[in-house]
Amino acid sequence: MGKLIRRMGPYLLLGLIALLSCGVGGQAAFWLLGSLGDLLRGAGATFLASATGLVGILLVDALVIALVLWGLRDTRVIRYFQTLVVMPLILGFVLGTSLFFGTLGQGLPVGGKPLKAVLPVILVKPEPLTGPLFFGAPLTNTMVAMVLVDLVVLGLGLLAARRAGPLPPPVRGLGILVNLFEFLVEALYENLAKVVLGHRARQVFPLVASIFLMVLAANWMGLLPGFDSIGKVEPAHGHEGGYAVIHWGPFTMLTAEPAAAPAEAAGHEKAGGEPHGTKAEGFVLVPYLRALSTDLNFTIGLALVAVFMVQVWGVRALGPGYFWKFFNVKALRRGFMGVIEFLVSLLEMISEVAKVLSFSFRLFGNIFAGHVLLGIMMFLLPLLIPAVFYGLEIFVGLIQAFIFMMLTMVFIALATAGHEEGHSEGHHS
Amino acid sequence: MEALGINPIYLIAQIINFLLIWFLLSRLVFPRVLKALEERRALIEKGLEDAKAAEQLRASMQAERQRILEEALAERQRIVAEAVRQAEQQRAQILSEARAEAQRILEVAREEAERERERILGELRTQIAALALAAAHRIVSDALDESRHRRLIQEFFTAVPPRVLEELRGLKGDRVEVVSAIPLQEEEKQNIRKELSDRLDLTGDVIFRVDPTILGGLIIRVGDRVVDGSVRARMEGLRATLMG
Repeated sequence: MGKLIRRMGPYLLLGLIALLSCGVGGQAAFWLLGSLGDLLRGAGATFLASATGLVGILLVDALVIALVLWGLRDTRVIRYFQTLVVMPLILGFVLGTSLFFGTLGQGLPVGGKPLKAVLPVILVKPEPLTGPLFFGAPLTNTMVAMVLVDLVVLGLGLLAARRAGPLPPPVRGLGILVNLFEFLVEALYENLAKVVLGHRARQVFPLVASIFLMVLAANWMGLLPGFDSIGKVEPAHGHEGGYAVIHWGPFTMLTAEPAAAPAEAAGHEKAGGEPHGTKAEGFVLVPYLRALSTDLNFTIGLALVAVFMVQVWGVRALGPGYFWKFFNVKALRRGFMGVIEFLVSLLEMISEVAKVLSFSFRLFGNIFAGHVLLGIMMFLLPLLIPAVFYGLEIFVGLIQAFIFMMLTMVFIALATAGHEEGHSEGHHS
Repeated sequence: MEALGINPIYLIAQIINFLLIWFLLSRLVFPRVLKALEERRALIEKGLEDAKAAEQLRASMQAERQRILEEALAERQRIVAEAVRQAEQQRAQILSEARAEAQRILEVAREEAERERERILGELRTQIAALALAAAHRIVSDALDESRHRRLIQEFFTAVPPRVLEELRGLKGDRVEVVSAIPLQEEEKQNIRKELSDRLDLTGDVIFRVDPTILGGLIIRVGDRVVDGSVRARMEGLRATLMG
């Protein structure tokens, strides 16, 4: 048993630290932003539910990894033991935290009202956090997330670049991240880019790898607890519904209770400092952070760059002749079929535009839908289920990043080779 | 568009942001990481090659070692066989030498014994001879009575071998001495004078001398010639025979 604890200890500790850091990080974010003098409010229950979900899935992952590692070197007895003891331990942990922070937590009389994850306000448009700042555009929560994604990607990249050497860095501390980064780069470069792009792999690789890293970071960071759940509580001016708020220490939280009894609520919560003390007023949450991939500006921008670079590589590989693909006037000389071919070549242009749309809306749609799904699941049943969907969303985030990168690579490969093929086909037909 | 949150300013901001990230990553990160990975692969390949070479070297060393071991074993057997052979040889040699030595010592001892025996035998013979002579002397002197003396004197000229008497012939008989054990009678003297003058040129006188030590018989001296027909001479002959 001692051996078991010694082996399992790190994983449990990691889970505990993750949980604590989520909570502490949430509080820190409150206090930090609170010093800015803004109206600081959070939907605590949603945050806790999402934290539970993520921690749960991470623990399950850790368990799976631990089982694999264990299975690799230990006897069957130990494997049975861990199936019988460790698995229930972890599942129990997840279940317990889910119950406490989720279902059970709903019954906690915090500030006189039940604490429960609220149904999120579903908005496609990123919410502004400030007044107009850049050329009349306010700072939105996705822009804040963008800065974080940049920091993570650049930080990881520069760390890996600094540690890069013929010998792999030791697998401890930041070395783990460096190893992960090197593993990613090697897998993408050796197994994908070289196969798809051939001799152009070295030149094209930074673009597609940047796309992959950015999209992956944008997708995964959106799953961190705090995204979508910590923000400022605003009166639901323009929005439908709205919720009553409760105050708990320095925190202000939305409750799942619709703001139905205005006079009563106002009477209880003078501390809210709202100007309309007597009027029935619901509150909504404007999160400080929202997944970057749920901002269409990000996905469209990325898609524009990707498609533009496809054209650039096409021209670089084939010269100005690349554009014959779009204006196949040479085919006109071949009579009726030639005219058809010319019209088809015009369609190519439309397909390039369609690429931008498919790129951007695929990514946006998947991630946005994922977040809506998570929010609704936490609202409906904050008990184990969010953990399952967190696992799903982690997978979806990875897949979407991979698809974006892969399609970019394939389009570049086609553009650099496409003309010759089309030409020879034309001769044959 | 506004409902979807698409805004040219954000769009441009996102594009610029991505271009910036792309630029920084492709400048600062990917070349270094890819280079490091390349180096690592080269290092691993080199390591594998080195390991292979080392393995080959080890195998050849093993074979060499085996060969040397076998050679050493064969050499050892050869040396041992040689040593055994030499030892055998030496043993045989030493054995034969020892045998020869023993033989030689035996020989010497035998010779010594032989010599000793000879010596002892010689001594014995001398003593026996002496005893025998003494006895013979006694017997002879006891046995020689008057008549035997006379017969011995009478037989002198017939008993002495003619060759000896022939030597006397022609000699100048100016001084002839005749020795006898008992005093001769005149008849015997006449007889002797006559016998002598038959054989030699008897010029002078014949001197007769009596010497009992000759025991019996006669000794005739002519000049420096002696014809010994005495018993004593015969005893001497016996003695020589006994001592022989």
